[in-house]
Amino acid sequence: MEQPKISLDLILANLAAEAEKAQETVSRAVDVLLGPLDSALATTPYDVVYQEDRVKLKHYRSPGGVTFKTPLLVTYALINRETMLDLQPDRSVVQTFLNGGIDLYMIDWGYPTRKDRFLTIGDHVNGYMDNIVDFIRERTGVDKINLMGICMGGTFCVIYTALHPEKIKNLVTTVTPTNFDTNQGLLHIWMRAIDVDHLVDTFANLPGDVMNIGFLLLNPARLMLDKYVGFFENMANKAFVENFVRMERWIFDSPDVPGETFRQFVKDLYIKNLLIKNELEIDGQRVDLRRITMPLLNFYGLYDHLVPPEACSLLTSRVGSTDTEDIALDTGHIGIYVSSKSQREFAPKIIRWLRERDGEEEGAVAEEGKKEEAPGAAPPPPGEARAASRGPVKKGPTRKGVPKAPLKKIIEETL
Amino acid sequence: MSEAPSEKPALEKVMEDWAAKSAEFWKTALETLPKAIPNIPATEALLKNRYLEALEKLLKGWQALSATMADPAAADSVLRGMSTVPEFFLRLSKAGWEASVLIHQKALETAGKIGQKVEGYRFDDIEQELLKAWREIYEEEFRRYFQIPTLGLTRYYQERLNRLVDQWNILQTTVSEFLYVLYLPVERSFQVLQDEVEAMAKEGRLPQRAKDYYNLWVKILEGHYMTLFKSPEYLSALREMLKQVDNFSVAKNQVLQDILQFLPVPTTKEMDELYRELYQLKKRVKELEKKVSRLEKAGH
Repeated sequence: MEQPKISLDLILANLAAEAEKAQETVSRAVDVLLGPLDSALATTPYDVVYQEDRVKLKHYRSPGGVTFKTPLLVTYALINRETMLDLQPDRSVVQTFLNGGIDLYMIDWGYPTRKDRFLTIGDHVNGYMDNIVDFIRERTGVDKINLMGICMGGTFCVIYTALHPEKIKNLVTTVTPTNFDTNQGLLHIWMRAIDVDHLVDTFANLPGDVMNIGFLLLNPARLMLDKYVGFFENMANKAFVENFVRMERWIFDSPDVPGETFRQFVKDLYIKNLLIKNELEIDGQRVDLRRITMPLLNFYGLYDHLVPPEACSLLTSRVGSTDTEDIALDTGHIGIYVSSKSQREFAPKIIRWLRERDGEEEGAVAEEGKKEEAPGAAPPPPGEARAASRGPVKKGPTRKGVPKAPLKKIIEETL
Repeated sequence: MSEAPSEKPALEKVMEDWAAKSAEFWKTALETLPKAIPNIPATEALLKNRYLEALEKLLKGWQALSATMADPAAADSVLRGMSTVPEFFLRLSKAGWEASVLIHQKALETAGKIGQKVEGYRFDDIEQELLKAWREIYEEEFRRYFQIPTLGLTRYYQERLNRLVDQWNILQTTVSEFLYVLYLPVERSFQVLQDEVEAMAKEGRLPQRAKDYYNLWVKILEGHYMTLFKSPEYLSALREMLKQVDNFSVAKNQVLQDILQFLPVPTTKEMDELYRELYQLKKRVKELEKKVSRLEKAGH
C-alpha cells in the first residue's frame, strides 16, 4: 500500500505558528473590544414629516441641495429595518442619493405590536402608503412621485403602482419578488411547506426572532459559524469590528410582521403566485400589472439566496410599460446595498436613470414606445414583444431614445 | 398464650368499672347544671333553656352510653368490635396495596413495551431510532395518563394543565428530532472531509494550514446543508417542529390565561377582541375622513 506523503512536521509547525498568531490577535482584540467603538448606524440627519400609527415618514436633509424635480419615496420591507440603506457613511445609499440631488423620503414601518395583528397588505398599500404618497404630492406640489421598493417593500410598490398608477412617475424595484413559482431559493420552498394559518393563529404577529432563526438556517455553515470565525480572525482590526457590529445590530433588529399581512403574503403570493398572474386582489381590487405603464428599473442579485433572480426577472416582461430595464448585479440580497462594489454601481445608476426621466412629460415614454410597434400589427400581450428583445440576465434599457451610458461614466458623473 | 384467658376478664372488669363511674359522673353533672344558673329574666331563661336542653341531651347521651358500656355483655361486644379493627385496617390496606400493585404492574407493562418497540428498530441508526422509539412510546403509552378524563369543578383547569405538560413533552421530543436532522450534515461532512484529506494525502497535496482544512470542511458542510434543506425529510421535520412549537405556545397561553383571570389584568383574548374592534373602527374612520376630504375638495 502506498504511504501517504504527509509532511507532518510542517503541519505541526504551522499549527504552532497559527496558535501564536491567534494569541497575539486576542491580546490586541482585547484593546479594541474594550475601547470606544463607533457602531452607530443610520446617522444621516432626517426629519419625521408625517406619522400615522406606528408608521413614520422620514425626509432626509440634503446638504448639497435638491436638483430633482420629482421626489423619491423609498419603501423598505416589513422584515428588518430601513436603516440598512444608511448603514455607515461610506456605505450609504441614502447619502449617495442625497449627494446626487434627490429629494429623498423613506418609510419607517416601525415596530408592529399585537395591536397591528389584523393589518393586511391592503392596509399597508392602500392605507399607509397611499396616505404618504398623497402627503408628499401635496407637500412638494407634484402630481406624481418616484417610487423605489426594496424586497417585500418592492412588492408593495408594484402592487401600489398597479392600483394607483396616476400617482407614480417612475418605479424602481430592487431585489423584489414578484414571481414566487420558483424553487431556486430555500425561502420559497419553506414558505410553501409551513402551515401559515397555524403559525399566525398562534403568534398573532410573526415574531422577528422566529424569522431570524429561519434566515440563519438558510445557510447555517456560513451564517452561524463561518461568519464568527471571520470575526475572530479580524477582531483586532477596529474598523472591521465596527462594521461587523453595525451589521449585527442591523441584522438582528427585526420587528415582528403583522400576522394578517404575513398570512396573505404567504398564501396569495408564495403559494398561489397570484401577483405575476394578475390575479391578486387587494381590498377587492384586482392588481393588474399591465397598469404599470411608467418607466421601470428592476435590480436583482445574481447570488441572492433569499429572492433569487428567477423571482425578480419576470416583472419587466409583465408590466404595461415600454420603458423597462433589468440589471442583475454580481452580488447577493444585502450586498446589493452595502458592498463597496455596489456602492459604485447601484445607487449611481438609479440617480442617472431617474435624472434622465425627471423632466419628461407624463405619458411621453409610453407613447414613444408604442411608436416602435409595426403599424397595424395586433398589440402583443404586455411585455411579450419586449421580452424577446432582451437577454436573459443583464439587460440594457429597452426604451428607445435613451442613450446607453457606460457604467463607469455614470459613476463618474454621479459622484 | 396461656395468660390470655385470665387477661380478658380483667380487661372486662376495668371496662365495667370505667363505664359505671362514667355514668355516675354524667348523672351528677346533669343534676348539678340547673342549680348553677342564677335568676334570669323569662325571655333570656327561655333562650338559655335551648342551650340547656341541648346540653342535657348530650349529657344524657353520654350517660346512656356509659350505662350500656357498664353492662358486661355490651362491654364484651365493644371489645370484640375493637378486635375487628385491625382486620378492618388489614382489608383496607390490602385493597389499596392491590390497586397500587395493579398500577405498578401497568407501568411495568408499559416499560416492557419500550423494549418491544426498540427491538423493532435498527441499531445502526441508533440515535434517530431511539428518538423515534421514545416518541412512539410516549404517544402510545404515557400520553394516555395526561388524557385521563378530569372531573369536578376544576376539571377544565386540570385539563389545560395536563395538556401543557403533554405538549411540553412532545415539544422536547420534536426539538430533539429536529436538532438531530440539523446535526446530520455536520456528521457527514466530517466523514467526507476525512475521505478528501486521505485522498489529498495520497496525492501529496495535503494542506498545511489549519485554516485550509477549516475552509474545506465549511464548504462541504454548506453543500450538505443545501442538500438537506431541500429534502422532503427536512421539510417534514421543519413542519412538525413549527406545529409543535405552535401547539405548546397555545397550551402555555391557555394556562397563563387561567392564571391571569385571577389577577386584575386583561387577558390576551380580551385584548385581541379589543384590538379587532379598534382596527375596524380606525379603518372605518380613515375611510370616512377620506370621503369627507374628497367631498370638501369637490365643494370648493
